[in-house]
Amino acid sequence: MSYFDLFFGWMFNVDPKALVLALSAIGAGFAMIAGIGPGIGQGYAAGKAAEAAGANPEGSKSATIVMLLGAAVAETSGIFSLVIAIIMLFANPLVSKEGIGIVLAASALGAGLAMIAGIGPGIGQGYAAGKAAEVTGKNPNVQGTAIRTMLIGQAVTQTSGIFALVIGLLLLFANPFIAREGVSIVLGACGIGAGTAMIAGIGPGIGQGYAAGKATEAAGKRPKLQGAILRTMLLGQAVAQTTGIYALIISLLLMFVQVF
Amino acid sequence: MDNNQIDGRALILACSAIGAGLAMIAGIGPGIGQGYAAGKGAEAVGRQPEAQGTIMSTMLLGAAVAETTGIYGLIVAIILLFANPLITKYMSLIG
Repeated sequence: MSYFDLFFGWMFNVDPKALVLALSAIGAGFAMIAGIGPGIGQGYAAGKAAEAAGANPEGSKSATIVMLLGAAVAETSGIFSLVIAIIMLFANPLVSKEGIGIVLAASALGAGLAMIAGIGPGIGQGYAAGKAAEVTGKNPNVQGTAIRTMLIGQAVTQTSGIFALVIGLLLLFANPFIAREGVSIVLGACGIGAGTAMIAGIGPGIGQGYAAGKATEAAGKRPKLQGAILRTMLLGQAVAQTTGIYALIISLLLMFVQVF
Repeated sequence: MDNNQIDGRALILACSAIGAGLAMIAGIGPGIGQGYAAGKGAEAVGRQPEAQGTIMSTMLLGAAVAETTGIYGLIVAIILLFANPLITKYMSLIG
């Protein structure tokens, strides 16, 4: 008996529906790992707001409002992951599809893995929220400028989280492997690979969030320069997005082009 | 029944256990974040002891928000362990 049979052979003998549901359970668990991001980011924002409240108690109300607004945005990728996990647990679209069990099961696992990317936007947007709370606490007059800059930066930061969500939803609801001819273990591995690639989104998420935070800080200190600051931030964020786009391309290649 | 036999139900339960464990990894985030908030709160109280009330309430409010994703992970893990919808689905599928 070869090692291949030892590791994977049982997957062909077990009931395919059970295999899909079982790997959906693991996928749901993987998806929730994204919660690391919002946790760190919102905690940072809370810390900065507390610091601002201590340094200037008159500005604490404005700082708290900005912190809550920013933290709500930072929650997005955590909620994306929660939605994917809930779909896989309670409304699993793959289990009712006709197809090879091992391929569908691997797709469920891939969808969960893709959502791990949410760590990045969570940390990044939280950092931006913290910087916005800090600068508003120091000078409540710049609250509007700080919120605007923060929200623009956070919106860009969300990109890689949305890429991951798209790949996750594609794997679940518009699975390209069902109609594809090929060796099932290879097709299944393509599904896992497509999801794993999206984890790269952690990097752009953190980086773009850092840029958004620093831009918010700068715009809050010198509101007149907001236009120039925003342009620099967006240019830098566009460059930071590249690796996330590479991951998306590889993921789409694995899903829709017969590379093997 | 042979305990070394893998049937569908056993596989789903086994993977649910792994999934529940993986979900809890999310706890890393709230831990780091809330710790940072607590540290900054302590720093601020040290600088301005008379503002302790404001600092504490701001810190706790923010830390409560940071807790949410940890609770999401916990809920998914508890669903997998105690109210596993996948087993129910499987039982209805095989009849």
